[in-house]
Parts: sequence; C-alpha cells; structure tokens
Amino acid sequence: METVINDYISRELVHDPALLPLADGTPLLETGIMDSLSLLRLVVFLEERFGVTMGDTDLLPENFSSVNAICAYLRARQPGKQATAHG
Amino acid sequence: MDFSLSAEQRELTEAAAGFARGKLNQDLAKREAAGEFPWDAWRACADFGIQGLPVPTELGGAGSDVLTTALVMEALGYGCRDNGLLFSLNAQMWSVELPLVIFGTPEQQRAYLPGLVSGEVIGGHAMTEPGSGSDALHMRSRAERRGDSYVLNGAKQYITNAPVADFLLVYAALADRPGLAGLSTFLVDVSAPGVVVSGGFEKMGLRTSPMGEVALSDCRVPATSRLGPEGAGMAVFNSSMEWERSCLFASAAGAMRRQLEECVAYARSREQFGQPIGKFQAVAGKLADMYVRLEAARLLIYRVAWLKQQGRPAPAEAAAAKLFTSEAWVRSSQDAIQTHGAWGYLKEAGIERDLRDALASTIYSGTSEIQRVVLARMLGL
Repeated sequence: METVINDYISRELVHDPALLPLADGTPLLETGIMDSLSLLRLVVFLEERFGVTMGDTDLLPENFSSVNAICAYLRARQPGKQATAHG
Repeated sequence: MDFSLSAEQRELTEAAAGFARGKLNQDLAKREAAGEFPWDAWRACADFGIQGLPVPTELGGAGSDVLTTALVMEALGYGCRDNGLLFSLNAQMWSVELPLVIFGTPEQQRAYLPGLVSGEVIGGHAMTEPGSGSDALHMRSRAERRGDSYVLNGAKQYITNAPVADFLLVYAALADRPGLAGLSTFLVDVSAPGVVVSGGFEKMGLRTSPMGEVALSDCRVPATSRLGPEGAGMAVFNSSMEWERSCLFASAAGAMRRQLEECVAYARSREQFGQPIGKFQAVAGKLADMYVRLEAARLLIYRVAWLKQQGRPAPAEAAAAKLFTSEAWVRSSQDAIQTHGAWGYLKEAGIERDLRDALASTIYSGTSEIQRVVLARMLGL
C-alpha cells in the first residue's frame, strides 16, 4: 500500500524534483506537496484504487499528513483486512 | 438510467414552484431598488420547509435526500424572481446548515439547526478576506487557543447574510499551526464582544441579499464553538464549496427554465414582418441554444447531487456544474433581453434583473477562473 500511494504522490503531486525520492514519513502539507486541490485528486485516486468511499469528515489533515498517515487511515477503515489496490 | 421524478418529487416541486410564484415575488421591484432583505419571504420559506429540506428530521428538518432538495431549489428558481432571496437561502443551506449537519457535534446541531430551519435564526459563511478571495485558504484571520476558549482576530469581507445574521461560520488559522493544517472553523454569534458587522454594499444585482464585512477584535469564543476538530477548516470549506457549486446552482437552472418559457411565449406572440418573431431562425436558434444550455446544466447539477447522495466527493463534477451553469445563466439572461428587444432592456419588464443577478454567479462560490483551475488540476495538469 505504501508503495502504491508513494508512487502516485511522487508522480502526480510532487512538482519540485528536490523533494524526490519521497519518504513515507515526509510531511505533505508543510512541504507544499499537498494543497486543497491535490488532496481532492488524491482522494479520487484512493477511492478508485482501494475501493473506499470517503466522506467529507474524512478529509482531515491528520489523515493525509504523510504516506504513512494515509496508509494508517486506510487500514483503520478496514480493520482486520489489508486494503488492496484494484486494477 | 432512470431520469424520471417520483410522484412525491413531482408533487413537491410543483408545490414549491406554486408557492414561489404566489408568495415570493411581492413588491420585488421596490424591494430590489431599496436593497431590502425580504424578511417576510424568508419566514414564508421557512414555514414552507425550504430551510429545513436537507436537515435531519430529528433536528426539525425534512431530511430530504440531496436530489429532492436540489429539485425543490430548481422549482424555487423557476417560480421566484427574487434571485437575491434565493441566493441568501442557498448560501445558508449549503455553507452553514450542511456543515453543521456533517461536522457539528450533537450540542452544536441542537443549538443552531432548529432556529435555522424555523427561520428564526439566520447564518452566514465568513471565509473571504480583503487579502484572500480566490486564494481563500491563505487567510490572515487567526485563532489563538487560550485555555478553554479561542481568541479570534481578523477581518472578513463580502460575507453574504452578515448584516442580518445571528451567527457566522468563521474560518481562522490556528496561531500555533501555520498553513492549511491549522485552518479551523468557529461558530460565532454576531453579538459576541469583539465582533463588528457592517453592511451597506450597493451591488449591481442580488440586491435583496445583504452583504457585509466582519471585524474580529480579540473575540473570545468557547472551545465548544469550534466546528470539527482543529485543522478541519479545509475539509469544511471543501465540503461547503462542493455543495454550493452543485445544489446552489439548481436555483439558477430554475431561473433559466423560466427565462426560456417566457422567451418562447414572447417569440410566439410578438409579430414583425407579418409573422411571429419565433419563425425567424435568428430568434429560434437563440431559444434552441437556451434549451440546450438549460438541459446540460440540469444534467451536470443532478449528477453531482447523485454523487453527493452516494456520499462521494465530487470536486471535478461540482466545478464543472458550477462553471457551466453560471456562464450559461449569464448567456441565457442576455438572450432573454435580446429576444424581448427594447422591452427587455427596461427595468419595468423585470427581465434585465436576471442578467445583473446572474453575473454574480460567475464570481461567488469560486470564480469561473478558479473552477477552470480546479478542473485542470483534477485532470492532472
């Protein structure tokens, strides 16, 4: 899961090459990688790849602060089950 | 794909359109000239159940689903010519009531929603600042945590409903957490010490929808007034904008339907060169374009409503719906004036008002330029 999400963020959301390679613990908001629009793009990606539906109350900074945080949030959404990527 | 309305939706929308035509257009020209907020019409809408449509029944609302609510708002736009009233209603419903429903604690919901639903309480959404309009999230207003309260300082501008509001949903960044991660939202009574609301903007259109400025000077609010956790401001704002960019524009689709019907009726009756002007292709083509714009707008709006009903984010779809519908409404409003000729240009005809009102729609809820930015980003550009 970390690899899939890291790849997506690195490819689609990171515009400054100096920030690559992206560590799973890199703070996404503070580094400017994540803004309100890139968050929405990421959410659409996560919904499609991991088969989750995210409501408005899920879009909190702590759930998207880093790749690790995103994975922790997704795993908490599916307790006892590893979230799998589709497609 | 079934596009038909249920019997209940048909009945409700017909009732809403009839209510709007009969009760919401009184003295509009006079009220609009004076820039007067329609208090009686606001209360009549509450009595009819408009403000309560998207609010759960246990909080005094109708608990209507998103599609039905949007259909009713379209019907209101069809029957009601006071776009300012509809704008103030929509602004409260989608960017004050819905955030309370989605993010509010049970205590906050009980404190504010019943009054909003009954029409006794009016709310406003205080985001924009002198230095941050399109760049809304990079605001200067600050919230400093002190014990069990926050102290707010800042200035908000162009806030719909502010001069008549009882409370505002105020966005501020936490003083100790810079950037988007610290953006938070607070429910602020306008009577609280440190809050000064001023109004008096004279607008080109939407003149019955009051707009004002809000100054916050060491305004202390209890921690329990925070909506959602610390840092939830971006989530609250994104949510509000998605709801506004779709459901608010259902009323615009209703207005476009009214414009088209009136233009068709006029084009069939007004004769020049020995025949109805609707027989001339230059006029007929314009009305055909109005029809296409109307139906395309409705499809975009209702797709977003459907997505929101599934509980799914719809940022691209909402931006597309808003962008298209607002620009279509402006264009249709121009075509309505043009179809009616010199009569359409006169204030007493009540046709030019729609253009003045529609122009604002390409600015509020994110300008057309910003919607294009959103779409480009969602496309990966």
